[in-house]
Amino acid sequence: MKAKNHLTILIPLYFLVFLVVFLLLGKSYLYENTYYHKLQEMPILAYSQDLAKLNELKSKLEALPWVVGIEIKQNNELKANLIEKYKLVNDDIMRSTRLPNLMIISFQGKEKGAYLQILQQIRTDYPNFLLDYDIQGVDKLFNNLNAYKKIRNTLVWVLISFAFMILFYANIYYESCNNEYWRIYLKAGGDISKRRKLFFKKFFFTYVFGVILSFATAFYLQNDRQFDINKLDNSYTNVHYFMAFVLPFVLAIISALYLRKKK
Amino acid sequence: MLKIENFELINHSEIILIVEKLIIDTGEFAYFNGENRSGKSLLLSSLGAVYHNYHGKIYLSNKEPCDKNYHKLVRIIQNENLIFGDLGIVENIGFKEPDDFRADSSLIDLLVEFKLPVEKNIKCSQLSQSELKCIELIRAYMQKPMMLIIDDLDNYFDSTVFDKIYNLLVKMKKQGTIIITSGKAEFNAEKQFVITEKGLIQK
Repeated sequence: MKAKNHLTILIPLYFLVFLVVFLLLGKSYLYENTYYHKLQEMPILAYSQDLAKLNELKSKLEALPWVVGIEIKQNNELKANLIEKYKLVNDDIMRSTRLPNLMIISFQGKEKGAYLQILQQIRTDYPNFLLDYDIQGVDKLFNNLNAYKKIRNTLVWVLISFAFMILFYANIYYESCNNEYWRIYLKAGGDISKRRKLFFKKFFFTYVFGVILSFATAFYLQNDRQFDINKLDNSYTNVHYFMAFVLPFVLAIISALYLRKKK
Repeated sequence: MLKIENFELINHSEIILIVEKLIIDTGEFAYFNGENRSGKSLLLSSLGAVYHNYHGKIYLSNKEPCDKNYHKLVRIIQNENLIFGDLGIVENIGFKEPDDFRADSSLIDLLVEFKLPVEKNIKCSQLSQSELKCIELIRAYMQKPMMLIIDDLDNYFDSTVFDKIYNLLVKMKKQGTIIITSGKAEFNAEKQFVITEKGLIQK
């Protein structure tokens, strides 16, 4: 078989494997977001008669990145809602009761510690506030999330190992077939410069172009399916992006060393 | 010009052939004969830069086999087929520009003369051993090497194509040196050598 025919098999395989790895990786991060959405549905409720203090707390919490939403419902608004909902227009107790104001704090942090930190801050700074929260639900959610992350990390490594092995053996197969082709080609009087040209072509497609493609795919999926160029600055620190750059190069080096040893 | 000096051919750590001095000029046809295991194929492999276990010097136009350009000067046809079975005949002959070769009437004439199929869709895997060797020979002719080496020529061709092969070799002689070995046939060559236990003897 002609060397270029092997290349037409190797290049799509190369892209396919990288695409699958990053697609699964991206999907897993999207799925992780469902845990944070669930967390958002378990807000911390803070009750207080002192509306000024609630507003003060709101401005403090708004500065925290893991607090995604704060809503204050004033007591008269709450009272009106309750009267309307339970048809209590003629209820004397309801009319005479003074309800507290309510603050709803929606949390979307990635660490349980941040959630507890908010509770601790409210308890310390505002001991008179009445708090209502589902700590058992939050505990369960973070336990599930941690278990999911562990499984995902294991799967990512398994997937990377498989991808590495598939590409390694595809590379070895390609090079072995190529060696036989070039051996005959050169012995039969072929031009050696053609081999060099094909080597650079292969290097360009499988490494340079391959890395650009896999990096772009990873970047697109990691940033909620958007090409936000502003996020590129921080991307190099991400281990997955780093691997997208390094892994194909490591693969090429190991394959070359293996083939050299085999000769 | 091919020049061999103080040549000692080694096989399994033993010296099996000694050639003190041998010169074959450009345009000469040299024929080597010898019994099996006499070392004639290894001698030719050494000249073709595919066997390197020897002492001494080999020069072809002042280039030694270790020179990276030496292989451009030499074509060697041995038992091993240097043909890509999944390619056509013309593709095997003209690697770089098969279309240019296909348009070359002298090549087409040669293919017709050797009764080789000229159709594009015929792959070399469909051809016989003798036809494959014809293709290798035609390819060598088209490449115009300075030296052509054919090991065991009568192994591949029968009497029906022998004259055509001989005529082609005579044509090739004009462009360089031809060296062949044969166990059976006799050739009308300018230089004839026999490899015996005493060494290389010129007839």
